[in-house]
Amino acid sequence: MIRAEKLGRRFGDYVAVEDVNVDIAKGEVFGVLGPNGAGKTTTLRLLTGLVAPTSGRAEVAGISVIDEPERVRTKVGILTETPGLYARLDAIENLRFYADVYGVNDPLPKIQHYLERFGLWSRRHEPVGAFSKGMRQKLAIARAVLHDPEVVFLDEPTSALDPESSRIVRDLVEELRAAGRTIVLCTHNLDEAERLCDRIGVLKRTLLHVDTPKALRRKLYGHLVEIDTLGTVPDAVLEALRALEGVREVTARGEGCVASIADPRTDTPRLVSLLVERGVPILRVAEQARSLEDVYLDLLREGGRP
Amino acid sequence: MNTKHVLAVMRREWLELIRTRTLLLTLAFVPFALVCISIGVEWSLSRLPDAAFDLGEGEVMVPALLVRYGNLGVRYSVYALLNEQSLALLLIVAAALPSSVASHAIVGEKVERTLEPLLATPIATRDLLLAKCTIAILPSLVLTWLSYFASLAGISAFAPPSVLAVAMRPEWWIAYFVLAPLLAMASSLAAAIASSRVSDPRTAQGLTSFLLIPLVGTGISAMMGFMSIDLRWVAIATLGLFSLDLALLWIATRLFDRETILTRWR
Ligand SMILES: Nc1ncnc2c1ncn2[C@@H]1O[C@H](COP(=O)(O)OP(=O)(O)OP(=O)(O)O)[C@@H](O)[C@H]1O
Ligand SMILES: [Mg+2]
Repeated sequence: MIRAEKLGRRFGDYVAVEDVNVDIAKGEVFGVLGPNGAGKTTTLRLLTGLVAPTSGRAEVAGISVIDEPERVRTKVGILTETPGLYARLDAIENLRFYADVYGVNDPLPKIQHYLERFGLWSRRHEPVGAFSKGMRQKLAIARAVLHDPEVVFLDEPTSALDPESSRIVRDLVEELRAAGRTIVLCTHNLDEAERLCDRIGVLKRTLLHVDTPKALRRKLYGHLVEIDTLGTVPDAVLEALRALEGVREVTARGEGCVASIADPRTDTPRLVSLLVERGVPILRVAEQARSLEDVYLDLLREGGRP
Repeated sequence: MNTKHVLAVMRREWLELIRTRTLLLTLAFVPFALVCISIGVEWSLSRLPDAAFDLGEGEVMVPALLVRYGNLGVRYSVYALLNEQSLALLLIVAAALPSSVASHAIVGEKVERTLEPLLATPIATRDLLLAKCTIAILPSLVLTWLSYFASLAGISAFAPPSVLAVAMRPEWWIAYFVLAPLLAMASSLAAAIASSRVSDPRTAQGLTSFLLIPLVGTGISAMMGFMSIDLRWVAIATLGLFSLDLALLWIATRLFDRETILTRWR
């Protein structure tokens, strides 16, 4: 449904996005994860024909974003970074305008459906300028999906939302996926990405990793175990530790070592019993606290080119 | 042209415009003032004694007036001349006013950041500009027509029907109802061109008035030429203005670079 080859965009001398290669299937929910300034918004703009790439090519629904951006626009819906609603118009008028532009037949029942769903129906006649940030965000999401596009791009859909509204948006994404729509979702929220997405791409100027949440989780959620021993751990023992299942990396550290493992519940006992077997006296075993963010940031550091 | 798109944008622009009271009030002020002035002039003329119009044979204006207004006599020829000047002035105002609405319609969309989702829709740039400019000229046109009728009412209150007839000659009807819309369209397209190239409304308006000078200049000379009733001339002026509008629409569409407008505006 979406295919990008060596897609890139520079602004003057500044390279915002480069060498993005990805192939997203119909019905897939693809998450784009990346820090501020990583190029998420720019990538969405490239894929919706809003800005032209300076290198590479991309197709959405089989249509080239370079040759026929107007036709691409008929196939997609986008939640832009800023909601961009008409402040003097009310909720219905805002949605009605976009329904007309996208050629939605009989838009009013659809408008009512989304407004009710997002809890905005009772405020439907108020000018949107008086709406709260989250209310605007919800209205903008409704605008992005009102015309039932084949591909939906959502730039940080839940960034301004309370937990309940986030939940409604997540349900909506599930529903769109079930209806065979393709969804690209930019987010900073690792939890949400994991829950919703079939695959996640970690973006920092280029796509560093593309994988299923499960595989990425193993990478992201890796655990560190610190083991203090009496005296240093012999190299042969370190080698044996590294060979254990579930152990990714073991490094000696003073009197003891640090092991990176997948699951502390199964892997830590294995480490300990091997050390005991080899006669290494253990003083202390502790899991090193590592936040999700730490791991994610490490991942970006290790993959990010300077 | 996609009529549905044009109508959708027009509808939305209209809703926004009627809720922008200050802009409408500012628009109404100039024509209102002009009408008041012209009625005031009419009133003070009517209070002058006949002796005031008792001009000598040598007065240079008199033969010209009599040629233009024929049987009206000196007194009513002066009335008619002043009326026609007010009407011409009002027409120029009508042509210039829409530019501020049009630049507001484009720069406003940039400032309020509503442009990105709009440009992400399949709407064509030309349809967008056409719709915006059409709505931009509507309020000033309606105001202009109301002012024209108010002026006619003022004239009929203080002058005989023969003077009123001058202000209702066919060339004035054509000027107000055919040429004024075309001229207004040209000025709002000029504003659209200026607005898509700059970043804040004030610069856009400044630039527009710069673009407007040749346009209004042409308008005035057209009016002057138009005074000598000639249907062929009317046809040429209409056709000329219409082509000018088309050319400006083409230029505005070419210069409205969606991507630049979106990305230079952060
Ligand atoms: N029009 C532009 N002109 C110059 N630089 C730009 C432009 N648009 C984006 N950039 C640069 O490209 C980089 C990527 O920006 P982008 O908005 O895509 O990041 P992002 O991943 O969406 O960030 P955030 O999480 O903050 O939304 C940034 O360094 C930004 O400054
Ligand atoms: Mg962004």
